[in-house]
Amino acid sequence: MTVQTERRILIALDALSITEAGLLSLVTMARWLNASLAGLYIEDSRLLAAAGLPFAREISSLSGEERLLGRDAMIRSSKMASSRAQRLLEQLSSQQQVTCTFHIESGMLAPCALSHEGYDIFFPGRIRASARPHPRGLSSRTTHQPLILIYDASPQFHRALEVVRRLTVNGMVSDVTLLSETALPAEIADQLPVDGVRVHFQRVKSIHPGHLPCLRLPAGSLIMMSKMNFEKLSATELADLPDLLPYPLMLIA
Amino acid sequence: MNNKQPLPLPADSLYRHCDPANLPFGDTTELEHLDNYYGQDRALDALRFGLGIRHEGYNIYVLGSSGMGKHEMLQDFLHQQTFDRPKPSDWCYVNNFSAPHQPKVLRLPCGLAQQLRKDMEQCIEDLLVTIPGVFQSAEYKARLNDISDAFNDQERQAFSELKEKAKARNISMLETPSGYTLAPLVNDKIITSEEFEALSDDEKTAIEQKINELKEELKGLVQKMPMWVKASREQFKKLNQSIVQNAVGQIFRELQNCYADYPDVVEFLALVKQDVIENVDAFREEEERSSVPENLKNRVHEFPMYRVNVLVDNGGACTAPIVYENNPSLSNLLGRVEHEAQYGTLTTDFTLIKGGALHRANGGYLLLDAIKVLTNPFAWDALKRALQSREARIESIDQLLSLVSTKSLEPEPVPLDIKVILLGDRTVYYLLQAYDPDFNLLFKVPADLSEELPRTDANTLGYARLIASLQHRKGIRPLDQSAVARVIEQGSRLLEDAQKLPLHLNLLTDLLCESDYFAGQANAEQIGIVHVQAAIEAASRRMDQFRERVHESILREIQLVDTRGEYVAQINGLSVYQLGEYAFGRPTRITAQARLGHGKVLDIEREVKLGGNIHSKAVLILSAFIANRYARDRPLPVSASLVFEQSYGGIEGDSASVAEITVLLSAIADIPIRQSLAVTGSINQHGQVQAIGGINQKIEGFYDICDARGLTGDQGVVMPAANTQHLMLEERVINAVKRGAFHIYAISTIDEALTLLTGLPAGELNEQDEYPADSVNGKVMAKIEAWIQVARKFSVDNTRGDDRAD
Repeated sequence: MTVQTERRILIALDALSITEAGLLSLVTMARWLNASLAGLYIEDSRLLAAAGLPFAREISSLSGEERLLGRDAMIRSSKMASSRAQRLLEQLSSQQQVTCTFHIESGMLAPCALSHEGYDIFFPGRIRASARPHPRGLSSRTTHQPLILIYDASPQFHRALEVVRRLTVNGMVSDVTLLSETALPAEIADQLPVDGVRVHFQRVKSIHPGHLPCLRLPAGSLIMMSKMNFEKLSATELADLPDLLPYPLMLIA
Repeated sequence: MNNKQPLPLPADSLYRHCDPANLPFGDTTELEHLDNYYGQDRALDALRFGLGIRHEGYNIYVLGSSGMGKHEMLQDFLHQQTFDRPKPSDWCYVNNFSAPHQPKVLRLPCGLAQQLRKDMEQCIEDLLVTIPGVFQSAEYKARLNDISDAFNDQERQAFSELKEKAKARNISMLETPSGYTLAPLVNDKIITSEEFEALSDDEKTAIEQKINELKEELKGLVQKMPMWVKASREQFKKLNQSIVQNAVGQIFRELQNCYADYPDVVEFLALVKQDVIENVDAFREEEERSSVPENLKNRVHEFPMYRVNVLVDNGGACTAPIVYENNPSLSNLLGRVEHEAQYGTLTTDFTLIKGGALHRANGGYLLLDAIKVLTNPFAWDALKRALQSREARIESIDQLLSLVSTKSLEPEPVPLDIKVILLGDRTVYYLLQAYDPDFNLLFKVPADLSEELPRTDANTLGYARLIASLQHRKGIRPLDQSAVARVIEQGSRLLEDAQKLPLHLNLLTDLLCESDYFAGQANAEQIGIVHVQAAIEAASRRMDQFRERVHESILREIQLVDTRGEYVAQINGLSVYQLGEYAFGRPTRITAQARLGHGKVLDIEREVKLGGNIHSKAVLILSAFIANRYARDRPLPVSASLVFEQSYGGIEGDSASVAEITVLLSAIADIPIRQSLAVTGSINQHGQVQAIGGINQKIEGFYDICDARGLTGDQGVVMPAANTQHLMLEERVINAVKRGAFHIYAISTIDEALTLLTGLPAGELNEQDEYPADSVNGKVMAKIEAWIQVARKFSVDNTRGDDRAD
């Protein structure tokens, strides 16, 4: 007999990571996982501090132009972003009939999010402001995502595996790539084949979270790994990681 | 001149019978069929010449009145001719990739245009399958990721290096919602404003200087981004093109091999391939959907630029096309560019080009009704332009008149190799010759259709074969000998000439079809003479209500016409009413008044503008005749007036000249005229009687009135002897003549008419140059002499009176 425990997913948002497609993807995922959602919007304390300085300037990522960065404007901008995030999340959750809460904190994105116990944590991935090229066929999608599952032999991996199975059964995942530093145990390998989903296995030198930005993955890929791995990161690494990670990341508690 | 009264014509000269016994067949099934163009040797020679000659301007105009069956005749002739014309080409329009508003025309051997169209549609389907497949391949994705990663690495590395450099200077580089900012660090934390304020000025300046330096580097980095993006895009594009080049290469290679003999097609295929490669993204949309075969068919329409618009498909026909355009409007002749509404605006492209009759007939023959071309606005000029330039250029009326200036297509003109055959009546032909100089240069060959042929024994048999052909072609019952004979006789009657047979096939066909109807009503297996007669009578009956009304008004003496007795200055003329194809005759009373005067004959019809020019001419001729005969060396002291009594419409023609002279002389000499006779015939200045038209209807018209009132035995018609050959009178008249109850007199001179109508000898000049006193001419001369004396007396009296006054 399997005991279904209620899954809770915390979505860590800041002004740089709010997109409707990203949120829809997560809400749909939460629905298939029968999970409740907790939206957490982080007002970046570093940005607020920087904006309070008398010489604070912002360099536009599109034009390189320089403009004043005022604290009040930053606060207003942050509030607008949080309101938008809340509205979007509540709207999408309501449509998908997913339970949702929302609150705001001040601090740094990853440390703040990881400080909440008992949640799987979802980082939507950074949206770069630069006008980067978007080759056709690599656009992000709300369904049929490629999924990167990092094997670390932790107990959370089995939960992650269960999540992957639920998502594949519901058609949200097109193929799964399993990254591992070691050979895959037989019992794990036996659980992997899922009808209609391609499964790949790839040995990597390290599954340290600090190496995640160096992974070369198809756009729209979702990375899933154990939350405990993030405990290996230094405070600085943890603070910087969301800025460097272009892919959505799901940490399984 | 003679004083002998002409004898009436014998009954057998009033109708030329066709004796069934002389027809060597039982019914028309035994006869070999003839072509529709029987009896048209002159026109056929002209057609053969016009169709055979290959030089410019030798187009053909077929002259013939309506009802001759020109179209059928011409179509039959053209289908039976084997000219050494090459097989007709197919024509298509394709996209002009460098100038889409000027679509290109492709010429292909017959039957290949549709094949090319299908091949191109299949090609698009293949591309829709192949291209998405290529982009789904692992190889492509890997190469794509390499480019994407290279860009990401470059960007990440550049910003990371700057970030590290800043960090080494205790400056943090942070991402904001729309860019970056730099802030000083103290113990790995952003300095607060209070902490910053607490710093010394030198420290503040140093920090600001570091930040300014880093800021400039950051700006430089951001400004490099568009170049990197552009470079990446170029790489994507090159990757896409190279991968598509390989993928589509095979598809186009096969097509180019199929059409290797046609350089224009090969060139077109190369341009399509190039365009596909340059715009490959269009084939990658909705990849999942495109794999479903039904959707692929639908998606072909999303790529009109690669399709083939078949303008002319000769469908494998191996003979030159023969096209008849019934409505030769500008667009039906030259083709048109259609538009379709899209979101409230009208758009077009080369697939909406529609060919015209010139395109369809290219390489063959185009048949047009001259009058229709001329009456369709701009059509005639457009046809001439096409023939002069030897190309069909699609132009709309809007373009011709510069009414609109919206962008439209200018399709490449199609080279023309065509014979245009205009069909029309002679009037139009001669008017065009007179007033349009281009016509003579472009239509050099007239093919003049004969309206009739001599009714010889050979032709009669030939005509019977023509009847048999029409009977067979129309799928009607066979005609027996007697029916054929009756049809031949009716033909002569319709032509108003017993010596001729008409070549108006439509009238002949109508008579056969209507006879077939009556044969069917009688459940007869063959059409007999009774059925033909029934058809003739029914056709007449359908139209003769007006004739009945006119005759009724005469019989009820509403319109006054005497058929008995003798009256001075009153005569029965004969006139014909033409109501379309139906004509009937009726007697008309003509009266005259004469008195002393100055030699003027007053034509009252002319004075009130009811008389036509020919009628006026006839009156002048008869005036000259009278003056010449009776007052050659002296003034004619007569003033006379002539009038058609109870005539309320126009009078035209000269067929009443004989009657008018007779009634004038009667008025002058007080000689009574027999009202039992009606007279018709024109006259020249020498008193010779000339032929007139409608003789059969005129005689029958007078006969019907006399018959209705009761034939007296002395009634009849005086007619020109030259019209004897035209007589094809109805049986009721002939029977009356046979019985001696009605008489037809054929005359050659006015004196014969005078003798018949007055009962007096006309009178011949004797040695003393005088007419006998008891002759018509003598009485007229006596009256004129008397008036001369009176006039002389008046003149003397007036002179004396004048002297006395002096």
